[in-house]
Amino acid sequence: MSVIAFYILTVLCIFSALMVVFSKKPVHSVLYTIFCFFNIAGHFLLLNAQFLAIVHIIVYAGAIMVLFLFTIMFLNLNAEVEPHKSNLLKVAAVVCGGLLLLILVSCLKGAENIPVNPMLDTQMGMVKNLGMVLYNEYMLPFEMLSILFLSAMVGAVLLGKKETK
Amino acid sequence: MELFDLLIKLALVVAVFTIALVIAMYSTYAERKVAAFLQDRLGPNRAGPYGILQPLADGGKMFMKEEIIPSKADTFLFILGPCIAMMTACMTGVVIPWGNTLIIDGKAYIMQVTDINVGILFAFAVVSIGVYGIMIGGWASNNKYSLLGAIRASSQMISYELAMGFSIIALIMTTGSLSLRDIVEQQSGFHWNFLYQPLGCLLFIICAFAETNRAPFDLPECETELVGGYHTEYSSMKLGFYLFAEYINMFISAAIISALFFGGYNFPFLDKIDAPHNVITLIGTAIFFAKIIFFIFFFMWVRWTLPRFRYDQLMHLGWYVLLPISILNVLVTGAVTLFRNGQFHF
Amino acid sequence: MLAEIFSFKKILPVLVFFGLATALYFNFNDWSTYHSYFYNMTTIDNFSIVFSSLLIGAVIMWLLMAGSYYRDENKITDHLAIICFALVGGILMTSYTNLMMLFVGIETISISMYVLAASDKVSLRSNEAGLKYFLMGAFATGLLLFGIALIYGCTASFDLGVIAGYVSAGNLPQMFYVGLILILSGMFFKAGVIPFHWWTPDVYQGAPTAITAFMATVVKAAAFASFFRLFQMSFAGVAGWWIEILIIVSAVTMIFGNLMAVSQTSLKRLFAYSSIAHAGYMLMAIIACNDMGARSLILYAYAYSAASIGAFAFLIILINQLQTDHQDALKGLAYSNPLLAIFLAVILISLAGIPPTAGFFAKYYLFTTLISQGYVGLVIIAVLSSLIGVYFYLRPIIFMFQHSNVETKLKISQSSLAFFALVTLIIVILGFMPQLIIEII
Repeated sequence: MSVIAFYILTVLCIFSALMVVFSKKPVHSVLYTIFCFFNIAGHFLLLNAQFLAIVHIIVYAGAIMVLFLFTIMFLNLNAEVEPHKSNLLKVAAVVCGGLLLLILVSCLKGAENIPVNPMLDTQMGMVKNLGMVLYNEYMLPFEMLSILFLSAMVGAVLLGKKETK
Repeated sequence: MELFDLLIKLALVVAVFTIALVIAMYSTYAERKVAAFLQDRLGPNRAGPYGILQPLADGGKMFMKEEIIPSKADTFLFILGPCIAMMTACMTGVVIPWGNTLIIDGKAYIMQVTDINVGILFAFAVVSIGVYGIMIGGWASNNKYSLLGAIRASSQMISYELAMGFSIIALIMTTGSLSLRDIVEQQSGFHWNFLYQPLGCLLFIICAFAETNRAPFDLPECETELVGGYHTEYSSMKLGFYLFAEYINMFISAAIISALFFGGYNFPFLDKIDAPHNVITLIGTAIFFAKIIFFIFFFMWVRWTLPRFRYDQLMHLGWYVLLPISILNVLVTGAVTLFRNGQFHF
Repeated sequence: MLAEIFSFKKILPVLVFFGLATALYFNFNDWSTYHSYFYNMTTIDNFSIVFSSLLIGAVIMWLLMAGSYYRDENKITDHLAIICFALVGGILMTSYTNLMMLFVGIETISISMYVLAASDKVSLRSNEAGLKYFLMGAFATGLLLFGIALIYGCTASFDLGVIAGYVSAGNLPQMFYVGLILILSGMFFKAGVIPFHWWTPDVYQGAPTAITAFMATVVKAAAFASFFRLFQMSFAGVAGWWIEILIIVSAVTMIFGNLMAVSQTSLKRLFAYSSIAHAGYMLMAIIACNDMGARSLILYAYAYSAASIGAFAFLIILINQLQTDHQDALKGLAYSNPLLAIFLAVILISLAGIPPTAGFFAKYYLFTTLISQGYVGLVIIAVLSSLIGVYFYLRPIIFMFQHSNVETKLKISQSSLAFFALVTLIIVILGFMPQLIIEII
């Protein structure tokens, strides 16, 4: 049951990720990204990480992508506005990306023999356990992330302020 | 037996869905009646006694109208918009606990479609997705008024989501659970949360108005400036979906407000009544619906009483007033919680 | 810990200065102690202390230098705040023992840098630099994170010690190597090493000069400290596997960086390419991957940071007064500002690696370290490429001593002259007594 769900989600996820790249209109790309995020949230659910799934939807689909869509609507980007890239560049990009894909695939082919760690707690994704881990073991990174966000916030204000000259 | 459980769930889903639709349908009627009452008019009174069949007539009219899709519009997204709006409006109902347990054949069934342990976040997530219906619809219409309406709607909803999220966080800090059922059960008797979180409750209600795009925050469809806002180009039942989604949202918001802050299906002197468990459950559910209907009335009352905000005032209120207050509320709640647990010493 | 002490002081440069000095003091208080904090998230050892003192010291120097860049009181508060945040990130990068902390540290420093690179909002080049840096940096972060995720998938831990144990147990799955390659790519980007160096010249040139100075010193040192720590503590067990990559990359980086620098006429761009070349040298220390390597990396980082900060301080003055960073502007400097020219010459000589400066001994120590490990071919390439380096570092000096028709008199305040004297002093002292640093750990 969950295997079938996994494959459906994965196919949809890869399809939407590809459509992000291939669709002509930026708005469609954004919408496919959102769809992709939903599929990833579905994967989280399959892993019994309900909190992560919901937060993923709230933060990514509900907040970040709304702002993204908002900006794209404001700029009114269309297929015609997009600058035309030379074919050589496209070929080069495809070759580079293809090489990375080749390396990853060829290396990951031998990856299926990794045993699943039986010590892992299946209840790990529950809010309570997550909170315990976050505020004990991962306290320092958690607090340091607030400095990261603070610096990003100060930076955004700095860049957003009007230049008084 | 499992089949029976499944059937019960199915019945519950159908019931919740139907009730939501019927209440939303009669909200449209109630809206006009309340407006009429507040403005000393009669309101709809032709279709049936007291105009009680008015919503049916409206629905019929919506279905019969001509379906127009602008030639420059993005057809797929144009249709998708109202679908998303309607879908997200209906989705939240599954996590709301409509009542206590019903005991059938010695087995307890909860009056809730599903009790996930992050219920409140689920509701919040669905609300945050709801904005896509409006944005997609507004953008796909390829109309400047629609686009402006959509942009207004999205920025308004994002701004107020922050304050709403903080007010929920403060609430969670007092309750210690993310499950809506736990939160409701903790309020048994008269320990309603609005007594412990008065500020959070007020903030939540204000933000709920903004999230449902109800007056005085109905800028996205502000007729005087934007013709019809995001649904300017819509006609027929697609327009109907948008309008209907708004009423369902209102119903759901009223339900969440009463569940989070006003005790849900609890009522004072619950334990004084000497009646079978199932009867008490049903009374509780009835009381829950009474609360919901009161809040729907409250929504309408406000709409016909207060004038609409100007857009900059709306943003100012959201960012400069509500957000700082809600953060302060979180801080104070945290300090008080620690103090009561004895982990905080002056 | 010490990060929090000063991360909130941002009101005035003076306050920040004292905050940093306090941090430096507390930093040395932990000397020779070996503590790990917060469930082994960070570990303070001598390596991390020396490097975080380097970072703090560099920020103090930067602060002294940047005074002439920031006239606008309004701007400096924001910038200082971000600089302090970046420093916190840098210190995390030198003392982490958990991949999570590495990631947080790298992100903190990178995001601060993206913002600062674009902070000159009226300049198109600065905007370009910020955007380029951000887009590419985000991509590199993605690679790094993907690599960390794959490693976690194999080892089920972020802890460096646990990963090292897993590596030494042998029989590694393919996935581990993929993760390693991706982490390597991410680190290459952050360190500005070929083939992930394309952002460096544009960003270094476009960003405000003071910020470029910060990038060339603090960010680079932090990147290499974390690079070294990661590979020494975790992946030393599979050294045979990644060392070949590093040897090729480091050789190509040195040659390319130096060759490209030869044809540059803009001084800022010249220093950008020279920073790529220096990154190539510093990679050699990681190849050594032992205590000797650590020492030579530290010495090199100190020498390089001191010299670069001096060079960029000079560039700030030059650009402020002449609005150009073309090397022709240097003509006749030795006659109009003799003292400044001498200081600059010492700085450039140190960068080129000519005795008796710090740069020479850093290179010397590095090369002997590698020869003792048997990497003779790499050292020969390194020596040859530094000969190219000598050419383009000496060229500005020659320009300074040429007579020119245009009189380029730079107005230099006493304080900035004192600053240059300080930098020169550090370089010379380290040149005569490199054991100060080498024998410290």
